[in-house]
Amino acid sequence: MGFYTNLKARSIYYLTATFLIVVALNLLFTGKGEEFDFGRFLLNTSPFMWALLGAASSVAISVVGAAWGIYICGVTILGGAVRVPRIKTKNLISIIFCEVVAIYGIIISIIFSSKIAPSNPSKMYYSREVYFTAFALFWAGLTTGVSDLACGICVGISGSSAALADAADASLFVKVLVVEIFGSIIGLFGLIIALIMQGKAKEMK
Amino acid sequence: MGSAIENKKNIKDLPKYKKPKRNLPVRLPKQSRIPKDVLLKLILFTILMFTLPFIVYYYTLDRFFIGNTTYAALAAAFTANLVIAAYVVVAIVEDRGDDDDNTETNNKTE
Repeated sequence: MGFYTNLKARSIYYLTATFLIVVALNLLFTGKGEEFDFGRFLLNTSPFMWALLGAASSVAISVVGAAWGIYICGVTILGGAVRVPRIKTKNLISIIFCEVVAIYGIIISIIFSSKIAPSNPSKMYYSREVYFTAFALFWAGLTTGVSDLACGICVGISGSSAALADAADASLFVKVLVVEIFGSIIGLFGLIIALIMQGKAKEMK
Repeated sequence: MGSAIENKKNIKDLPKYKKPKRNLPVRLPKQSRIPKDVLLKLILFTILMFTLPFIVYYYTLDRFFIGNTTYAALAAAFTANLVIAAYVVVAIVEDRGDDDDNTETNNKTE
């Protein structure tokens, strides 16, 4: 049913579960239950960490997706070109589809980096706008990153099969390209939603 | 057990290893050489893909969209997709040209 069977995985799982239960019960029974406070965690972590995590994860995770796609696709193209050299040049289209996913991640990161500035609050706390910007940038970056990761893998795997189909029958490639176009559009969705989310985020002053 | 000890091979009895002579070609044979213009096109499109979206982003940010980053980023993503579309069109036209040449030479030999 999805339960790990080997001993190492099971022991890690049970050890961490026991540790967490012990910590939780300790807090509960010693009267420190109020210390487990998610709101305090949100307020005490610096907004810069959230914003920079968003900017970092958008480009980093997108590039992981693009690289994954390119390596899957490239291996098939290079292997197939041993027997059928004519597929070499045309199948680079799949590689370019994978790469544009990384470009989306970079665009989002560039936008975010212009909104992140070390604000120097004369008061004791950061204002609401700064927190909103930070959280918006974090989740927008994560949106872009994960959707581009999935898009890159999708285009890579379908591109690799497109190379094999092209090697077998040259007229098939243009029809298989439609699959890759659809796969590449889902990366665009992540970009659009990320842009909408950060649209209201003002620059941190 | 007995036969393994009697027929034990000595490493000095093995034939001496000679490096195999390889005829590595200095240049690729003419059929498998990628034509220069195809390579140039590929490099050109790659450079375009890296530079054009960011140029469009920074250009439209202040001049057309008055600092609204959303529309500028959408324009940049649009140009990235335009570069892809241009590459696809160029690749397909190039392939169709090659196919026509091949069928012409086939007709001539027949």
